[in-house]
Amino acid sequence: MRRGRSRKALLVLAIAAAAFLLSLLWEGPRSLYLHAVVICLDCIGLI
Amino acid sequence: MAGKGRRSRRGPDRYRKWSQVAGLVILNPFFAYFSTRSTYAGPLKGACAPGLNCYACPFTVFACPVGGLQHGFVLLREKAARLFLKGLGVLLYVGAFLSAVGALVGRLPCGWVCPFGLFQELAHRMPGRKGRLPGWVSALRYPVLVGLVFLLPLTTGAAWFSRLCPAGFLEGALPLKAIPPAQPLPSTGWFFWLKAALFCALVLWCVPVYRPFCRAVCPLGTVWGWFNGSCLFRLEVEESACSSCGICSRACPVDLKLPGGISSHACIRCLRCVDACPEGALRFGLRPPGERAEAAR
Repeated sequence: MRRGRSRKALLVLAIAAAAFLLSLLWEGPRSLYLHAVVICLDCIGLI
Repeated sequence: MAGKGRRSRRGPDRYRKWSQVAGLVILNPFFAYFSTRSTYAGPLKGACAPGLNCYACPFTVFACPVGGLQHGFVLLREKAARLFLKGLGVLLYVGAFLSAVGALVGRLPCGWVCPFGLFQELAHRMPGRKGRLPGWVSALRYPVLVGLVFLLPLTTGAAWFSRLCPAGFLEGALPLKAIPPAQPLPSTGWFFWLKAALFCALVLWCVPVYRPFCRAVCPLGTVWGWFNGSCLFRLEVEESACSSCGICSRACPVDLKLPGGISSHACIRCLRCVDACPEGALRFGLRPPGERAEAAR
């Protein structure tokens, strides 16, 4: 059961790595960066 | 803390406050804001913070993953294929981050890193009657996640969780109002005061209840909670050593019925139960001793 749990976690990590690589194709980190560097007016209630 | 059983302070819990303070400083180290009056714009701003840490905070150098998710859903509304794909990219990126952290350590960052969790714990120290969170209230976190983080941004194009987020008020609005940036901000409207009222209500809620936001609202805790039972970091009970005395249940700040509920989604992995167990029956780690012995055979 413990081994099964490790396998499940490693499988999720592998899927996360694949999703990260796929996100690079569509500029995921860059889009998040461009959004995050601007002061989020929603976050501070000044919309 | 009254009514929470014996706390021996011999185990990991003694280091937790230090870890939380370190988390606060590591996620918000941009003290140059005091002199520059402009927020950090370096490459780390494209990386997600392992905790609810508002990216409107003038001192932060990371992005909030919940804000990132909402931004991804807002972009999915765009008709232009290029923007739609960018939205998909953001969702995959933030989803990969959340899954990776979840698969490694589950809700451990909630108990050991999250600055907003630390704030609620400090608010809980204020004098007043202490009580439990009714069970049904903790189920609110699912409609919050699906409604405010997924569906409303997708259907209305606005980041509704961020609009109401009390962490955004504490970490973003208050510091920016107190120390305004060089670039002038729009004037304060009624939404700001609504947000302030929600924040005050949360502070009042924190006095009787331990970390109510984490247990009833937080989308990050909800997602990482799903991994508590299957992540590499484990908290386990050695059944042969457990005398079922119930001390661990009484020590649990989120009122879990232990040791049965040790993998519960609600567990913030504060490890107070490990400290409290007089038999040493609760163990934690990436590979607990039981498995090490199994592997050696």
